[in-house]
Amino acid sequence: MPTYAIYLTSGFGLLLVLFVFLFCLSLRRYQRVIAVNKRFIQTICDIYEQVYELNLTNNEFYQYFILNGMLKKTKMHEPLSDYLPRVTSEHVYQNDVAMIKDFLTIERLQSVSDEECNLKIEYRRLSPQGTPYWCMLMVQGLPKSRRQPAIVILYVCDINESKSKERQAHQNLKQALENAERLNEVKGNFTSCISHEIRTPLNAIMGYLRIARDHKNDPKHVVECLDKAEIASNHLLSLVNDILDVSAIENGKLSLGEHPFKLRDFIASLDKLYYEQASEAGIDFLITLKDITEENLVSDDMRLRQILLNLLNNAFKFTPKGGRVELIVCQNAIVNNVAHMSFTVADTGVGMREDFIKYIFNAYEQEDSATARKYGGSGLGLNIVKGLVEMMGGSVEVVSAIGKGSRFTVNLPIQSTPYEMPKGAQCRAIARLRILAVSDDRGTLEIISRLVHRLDMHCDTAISCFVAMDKIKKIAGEGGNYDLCLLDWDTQGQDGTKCCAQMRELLGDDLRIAALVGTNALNLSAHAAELTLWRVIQKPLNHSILLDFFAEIVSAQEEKSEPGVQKMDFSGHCVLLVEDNNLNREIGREVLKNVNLDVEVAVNGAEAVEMFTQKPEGTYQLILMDIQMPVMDGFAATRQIRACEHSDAQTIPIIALTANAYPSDVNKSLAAGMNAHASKPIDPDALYSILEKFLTIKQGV
Amino acid sequence: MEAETKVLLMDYGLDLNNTLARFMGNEKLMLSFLQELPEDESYPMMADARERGDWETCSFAAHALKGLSGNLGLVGLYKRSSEYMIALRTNDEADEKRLFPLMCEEYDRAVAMVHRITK
Repeated sequence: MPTYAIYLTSGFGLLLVLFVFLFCLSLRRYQRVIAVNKRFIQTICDIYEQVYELNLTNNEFYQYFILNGMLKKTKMHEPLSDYLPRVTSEHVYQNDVAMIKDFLTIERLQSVSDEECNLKIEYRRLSPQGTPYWCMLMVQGLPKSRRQPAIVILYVCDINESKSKERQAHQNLKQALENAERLNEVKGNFTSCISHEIRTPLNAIMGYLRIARDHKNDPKHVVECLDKAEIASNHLLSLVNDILDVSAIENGKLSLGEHPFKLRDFIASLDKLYYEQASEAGIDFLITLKDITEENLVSDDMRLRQILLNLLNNAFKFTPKGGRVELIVCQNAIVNNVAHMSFTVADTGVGMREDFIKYIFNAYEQEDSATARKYGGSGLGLNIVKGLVEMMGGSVEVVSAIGKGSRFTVNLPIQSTPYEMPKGAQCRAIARLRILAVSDDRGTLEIISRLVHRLDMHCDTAISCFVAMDKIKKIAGEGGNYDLCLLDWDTQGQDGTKCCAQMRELLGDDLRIAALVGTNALNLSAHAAELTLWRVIQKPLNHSILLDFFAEIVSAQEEKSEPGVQKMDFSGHCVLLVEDNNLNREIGREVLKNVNLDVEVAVNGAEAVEMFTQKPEGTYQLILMDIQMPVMDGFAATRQIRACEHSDAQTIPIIALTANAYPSDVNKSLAAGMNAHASKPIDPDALYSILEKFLTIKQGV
Repeated sequence: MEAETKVLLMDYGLDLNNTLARFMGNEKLMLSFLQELPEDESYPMMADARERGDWETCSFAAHALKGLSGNLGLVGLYKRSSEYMIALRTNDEADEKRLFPLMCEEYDRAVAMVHRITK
């Protein structure tokens, strides 16, 4: 202890402490610098695929790499002078070998070291799979002092992704430039074309006005000139409208309306518009409607018309005499009251080059200036078509071949609205009509069935005249008759006449036969009386046409049965009426007795079950069941009846009769085993219609 | 049908055409059923059940009254009983309290009309 004290108090001791303190301080600083450098090199190794330290003085080199998260520096055993020629030939894409050899020489590296500068080069390396990818090689000379060797750091970095992005950006830029140049060109062409288009009618207007003034004393001539000037004005107006439409669509300023319209009227207006034009041009114009079941539509009919007019105008413009233009309207599917429709305009005209088709919907485009000169037009029509179709949520497609014609198909979802349905007594009378549809085309039968079912009617179908005759004979054997036979004349071909004659032979004039024809309706109409046809109906059939005919038949039947009132007669049938309320029960009994039904009553479900089970087979032909009753409700009673051993248990019709018409009640009725549902207050006609479905009726006056 | 009766029915707002159609155009039959309205047990059953808080019976009777008033063409009563039924069905206490007096009022009006045509 005293020895330490001597040291500490002496000057030497103090110096020693100071030395140790300074040593520790500089050691810590050195370690910090080492750590920072290590972190920096580690980051460099992370960024670059390969990092080498090339010692030019000693002709050796080291590789830096990360192993298990630790930075490693490994001396390579090969001399640098041997390594360089090898590395420039291995793993380098063949086309870039010469460039790399020239870049990576000892002389060049020496100069990089001397100048303490850096050099970069991009080249393609080969992956282990042999595919080339872009890399960047950089050499950097480290600052050196007299005592330190000449060192150059070599980095290799994968730049394939950024290179590819750069290439893509370059490509995009090139494409944008090309597009801009093209747009500029077409706009230039458009300006000259549109100037010509505007000038032509304008010149005509001015010319005719001048001629009219010159002939002011010849009123006939003046009127002719004014008529022609008016035509030219209309043309000019439509051209200006086109330009405004394109502008509105492009700027998103065009809004679509929603108007209800009838497809039949809409198509008829197009037919009317083009019929004469087609005749004059010697072009065959056909309109075909396929699978149309929804004809009450809601859309912007004016814009839809504009779309079809543009397509039809083009079709007529590019179709020579003797050719054909066809408009095919098809309802492909109906989903949630939306009709998915296609409108196809097909022509046998000049067609288009395949390479032009991709530009066809661009604004201001025409196939070439010769087209514009020969056929006229602004080149805006199809751009408007595409713009409008897209606004309406649809699409447009085109198929075309030079010399063979073009086919444009517009697919549009269009809202449909409920059909006008007959009401009250007319509805019930129509529902009672018996219809037979005869066609050898299953599609036609399917459409007719769908349309007829929509009117809550039943329709028998026959795939041939032979089958039809069988059905007619069967109904006649039961003492009945069809009220209308829809006979597909086209598919029956010449047999239509024969089939019609066979039906007449069996039934005389009692059966109304309506011939369905696709074409030449007028020709057949001329012979309708001779062929004993009630009507000749142009296909396609639709809801309104059928409804009109059915109403006509009902009205004719009513006239025939006047002055007496036709009344149903269910005599011979016994109905069990189950109703707890005394007054309602009596009212129900009166309503049922009115159509000659025998009525027995039960005051609750339990009594009904008892009555039914105790009576012999065939006592009741139908049960009218109230739902909410004391003791046992209608659901439980129905379930018990259906489950009992009685031989009528499964077959007897049970009709729910209740003031609750909620869907849940209807579903519960059906689930309990009831066959149908009639609502209170009792509507006698509606109730009779339901009874008619389950009981055999006798028609009486 | 006497003109005076017809006026009373129309004043009340009876759905004359449809109701007559329900009774096959037989006015006498229609009037005879109408005259039985005050004797029908649905209304008193409903009022009594309501007072006792027996909502099941109340709903049951209201349903019967709805069917009956519909059959008799008593449009006002049919409408009120339908609304009341919905209130009961949806357990809407506020609506039940609001609609019950309105339905009673309508029932009284219908019964008063029946008494007048009976006289």
